Amino acid sequence: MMKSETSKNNEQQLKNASNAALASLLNLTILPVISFIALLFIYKKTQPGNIDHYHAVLGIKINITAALALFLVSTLMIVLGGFHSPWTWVYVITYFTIVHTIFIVFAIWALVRSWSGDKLRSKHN
Amino acid sequence: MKYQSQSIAKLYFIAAIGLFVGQILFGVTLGLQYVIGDFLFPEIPFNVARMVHTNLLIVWLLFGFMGSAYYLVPEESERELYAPWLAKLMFWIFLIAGALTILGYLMVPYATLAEITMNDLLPTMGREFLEQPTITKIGIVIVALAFLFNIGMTILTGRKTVISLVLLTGLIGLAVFFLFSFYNPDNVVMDKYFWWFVVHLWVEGVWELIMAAMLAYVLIKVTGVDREVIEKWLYIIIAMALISGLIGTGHHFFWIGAPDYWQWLGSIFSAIEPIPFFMMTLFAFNVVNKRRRDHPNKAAVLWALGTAVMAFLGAGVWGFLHTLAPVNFYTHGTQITAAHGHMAFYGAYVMVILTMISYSMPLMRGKQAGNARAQVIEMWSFWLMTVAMVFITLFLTGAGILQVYLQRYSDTPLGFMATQDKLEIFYWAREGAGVIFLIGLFLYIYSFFAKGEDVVMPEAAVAS
Amino acid sequence: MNTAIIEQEPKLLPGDLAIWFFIFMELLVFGIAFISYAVVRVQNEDMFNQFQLTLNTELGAINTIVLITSSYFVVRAVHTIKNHGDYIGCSHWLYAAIAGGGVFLVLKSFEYYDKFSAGISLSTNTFYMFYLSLTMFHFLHVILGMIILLAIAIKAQRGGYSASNHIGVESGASYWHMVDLVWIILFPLVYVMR
Repeated sequence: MMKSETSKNNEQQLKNASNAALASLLNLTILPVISFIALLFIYKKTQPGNIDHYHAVLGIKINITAALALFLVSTLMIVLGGFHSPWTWVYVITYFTIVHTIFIVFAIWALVRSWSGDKLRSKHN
Repeated sequence: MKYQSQSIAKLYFIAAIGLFVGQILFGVTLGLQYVIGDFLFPEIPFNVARMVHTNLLIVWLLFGFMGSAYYLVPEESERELYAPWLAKLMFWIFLIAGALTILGYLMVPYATLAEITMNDLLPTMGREFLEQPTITKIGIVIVALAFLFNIGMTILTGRKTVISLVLLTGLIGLAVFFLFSFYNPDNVVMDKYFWWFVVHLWVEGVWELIMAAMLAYVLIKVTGVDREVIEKWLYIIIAMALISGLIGTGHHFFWIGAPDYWQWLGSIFSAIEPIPFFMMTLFAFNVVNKRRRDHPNKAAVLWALGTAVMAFLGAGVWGFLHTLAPVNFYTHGTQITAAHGHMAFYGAYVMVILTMISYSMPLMRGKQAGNARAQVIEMWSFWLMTVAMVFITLFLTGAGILQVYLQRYSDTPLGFMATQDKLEIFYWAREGAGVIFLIGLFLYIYSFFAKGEDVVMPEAAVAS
Repeated sequence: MNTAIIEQEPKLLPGDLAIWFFIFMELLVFGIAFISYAVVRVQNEDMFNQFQLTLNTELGAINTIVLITSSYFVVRAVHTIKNHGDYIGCSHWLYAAIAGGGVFLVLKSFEYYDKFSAGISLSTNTFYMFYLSLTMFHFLHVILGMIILLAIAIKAQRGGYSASNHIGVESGASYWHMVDLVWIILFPLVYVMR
C-alpha cells in the first residue's frame, strides 16, 4: 500500500514537472505572460527537493533570464544606439533572433528531461 | 552493414563529398567577389560562379539522398537491393552528366551552352537553380526514374516500414515536382509559379519527408529506441510539414503579380512552417534522452542532434523572420534571404546527409564506428562548419537589415550599389567565416583517413 | 527485462501526446486565421456585413448540428470500448460518426456549388477570400478526420482495441472533436456575427 502511494506521488510529480517545463517553453514561444502565470501556479503546488520543484524553478529561472537578456539588453541597445540609427536595428534584430532561439532550444531540452523525470545534468541510466 | 548491396552508397557518398568541396570552393570565391568585384574576371565571372555554387549544391544533395536511400532501404526492407548493377550504372551516368554540365558552365558562355545543347527545341534554361541544359534535365529524370524503380521494387518486395514508405513518398515527390522545370511559359507570372512549384515544393515540402525519414532511421540505429515511438513522431512531423509547406508556397507569390489573397494564405501558413522543425528538435532530443544504449559512434549522434537544432534555426526561425507579407515587403530579395538560404540548406539538408554518412561510412568499412581519433576530428569539423555557418548567417542577416534600412526603409533611400558599399564590412566578415567553413570541411575529409584506436564499448551497451 | 528504461510520457491528456501536438498546431493555424479575419473585418465592416448576407446560414446551422451529433457518436465509441471493451460496438459508433462527416461534406458541397456557379472565387473580394479559404481548409480537415476515424474503425472491428488498450480510439476522437470545435467557432464567426 505504501508502495502504491509513493508511485502515485511520483506520477503526480512527473506530471507537474512536465507541465512546468511545457509552460516555460510556451512562455518563450507562442503564449508569453499567460504561461508564466501558469508556471507560477505550478511552482506553488511543488515541494522543495522534488523533481517538479526543480523543473518549476528551472523554468522560472530560464524565463526571467530570457526576459532580461532579450528585453533589457535590446532596450539598452536601442537607448544607447538611438532609435533612428540603422546600426541599432542591425544589432537588435540579429541579437534578439539568435538569443531567443538559444533559449527556446534550451527549454526544449529541459522539457525532454522533465518527461523522463531527470534533472538537466544528472546522468541518464 | 547487413546487406552487400548497401555498399553502393559509398560511391554516392564519395561523389557527394567531392562535389561538396567544389561547392564550397566556389562559395569562397563568390564571397571574395562580393568585395573584390573583378577577382578571377573574366575567367570565372560572378554569375557563373554563383550558378556553379548553387548547382553543385543541388547535385551533391541529390547524390547524398540517393546514397542514403541505397544504404537505408535494403536494411529497412530486409533484402538486397533490387538491381545493384542499375544503381552503379546510374551513378556513373549521373556523375558524368553532372561533371559535363559544370564544365559547360565554366568553359563556354551560357548562351553558347544553350546553343550547343539545343535548348531552342525545348527551352528550359535560364532560371535560377534550374540552369541545367535541357539534355541534363532529361538525364536527371532518367536517373531519378531508374533510382525510384530500384528503390521502389526493393521496398515493395521486402519489409515495408513507415520510414521507408515516408522516404519513398518524398523521393517520388522529388521526381514529380522536378517535371515542372520542363514547363517554361512565356508569361512571367506563370513562369514564376512553375519555378516555385519545383524549388519551394522541394525544399519546403517533399525534401522534409526525406530528411525526417533519414533522421528517424539514424536515431533508431544509434539510440535503440522503439520503432513505434519514432514512427508516431514521424507521422506527426510529416503531416505538419505538408500542411504548412504546401499552402506555404504562397509566401513566394506576394510580389510576383499573383492575386492579393496569397499575402494572407502565404503569411498564415508559412507562419507555422517552423513548427515541424521545432517538432524535429523535440523529437531528436527526446529520443536521444531516452536512448537504450550508448552507440560507439558518438559523432553520428552529434550530427543527428545538430541537424535537428540547425534545421529549426535555419529553416524555422530564419524563415519565419521574413515570411510575413508586411515584413517581406521590405526584405524580399535582400541579404536576409541569403542568410536564411545558407543556414536552412546547411542545417536541414547538408547536415542530414552528413549524419547518414557519419553513421553508415564506418559500417561500410567494416567497423561499428570510426576510431577514437577520427571521431574527435570529425566532431571538430562538425563544430567548425556549424559555428562558421552560424556566423555566415549572422553576418548576412546584419548586412540584410542594414540593406533594408538604407535602401528601402529610409526616407532618403540609397541606390543599390551605394548600399552595397556600406555592407562591405559584413561581406569581409562573411568571407572569413566561409574560410573557416572550408577548413572544417577539409578536417571532415581528413577524419576518414585518421588512424587511431577503435572505440570499444562496454559489452552490455553494444546491442546489434 | 529492465522496466525502468521503458518510460512513457506522463499521461496528461486522453489519447496519444503526439496527436495533441498535432491538434495544438492545427488550432494555432485556425487561431491565426481567425484573428486575421477579425482584424480585417473590423477594417471593412460594411463590406463584410453586406456579403455575409449572401451566405446560407440555414445550411450552416444544419451542418453544425450534424457535426455535433457526429462528435457525440465518437464519444459513444470511446465509452463503448473503454467501459465495455466492446470493439464491434465501438466500430459501429465510429462508422456512424464517419457518416456524419459525410453528410457535412455533401451539404457543404451544395453550398460551394451555389457559390461557384454564381462566379465567386478567392479573388472576388476579401470577405469571400476568407470565407472560401477558411471553410475549405476546414473541409479538408473533415476529410482527414474521416480518414483517421476510418482507420481506427477498421482496426477496432478487427479487435485491435480493448478496454485496457484504446489509446488509438481516444486519439482519433480527440482529433475529431477538434474538427468539430473549429467549425463551432468558424460558423458563428463567418456566417452569423455582424
